[in-house]
Amino acid sequence: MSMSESNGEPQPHGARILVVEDEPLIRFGIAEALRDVGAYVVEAASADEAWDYLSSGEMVDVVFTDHRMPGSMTGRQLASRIARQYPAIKVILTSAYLDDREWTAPVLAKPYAVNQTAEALVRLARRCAGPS
Amino acid sequence: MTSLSPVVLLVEGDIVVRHTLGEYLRECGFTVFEAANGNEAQQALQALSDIEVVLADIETAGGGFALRQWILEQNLPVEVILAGSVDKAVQRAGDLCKKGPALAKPYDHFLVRDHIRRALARRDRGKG
Repeated sequence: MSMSESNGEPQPHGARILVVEDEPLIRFGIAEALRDVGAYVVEAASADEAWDYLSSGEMVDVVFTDHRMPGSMTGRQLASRIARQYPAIKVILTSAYLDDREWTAPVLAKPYAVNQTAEALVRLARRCAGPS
Repeated sequence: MTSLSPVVLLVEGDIVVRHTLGEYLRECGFTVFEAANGNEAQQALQALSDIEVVLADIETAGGGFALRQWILEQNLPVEVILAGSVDKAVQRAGDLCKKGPALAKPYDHFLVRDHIRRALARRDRGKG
């Protein structure tokens, strides 16, 4: 969060990406890589937390979420919920357990290349955010 | 994951509070890792040897006194700062910021507190 001088309101800048991952070391890795390439990153430890964050009125351009996590929602369920309530947000799922299920959003297999993934997510977020 | 700036581990169970405090501390020049509970904090402390300060909410699951006790038992060379409320956590973050490596401080910690309060209120209204 950065605050503008004029009104004290938080003014996120650049690509805004919400990372949802219950394995903290994996989350730290992708979050730091995203920050290194200029993203504004929010870290959630579960789908429930991610939904809590979005419900607080904060917006992001892209949600990058693990599928299997503890809590009341999987990543796939989070993706469906976001598609209904926040259709402008692009969701990318990631999972180590890819099968022939119907995924509700694009899926990236784990393990993924952290730096390349971070760069791709930032490019996607900038496209979603549009020209500034 | 090694850092040249001082590293803070922030342990807080509420994502709105954790994220806002984390961003504030980053703007003060710290590298910040965010843990949602004590278990995540322990994983971070075991894996990342460059953590110097742990700022932990005492009400976060496994994140307050239990975490401090675990750190003592592990004999880890980290400073532990406990906070019993959002306001205290913001105050402690403000204290850290004064000592932080960023020469230009980003904004007053009272703005951080007000931002957290507004975001929590919006979320509560949304749930109601």
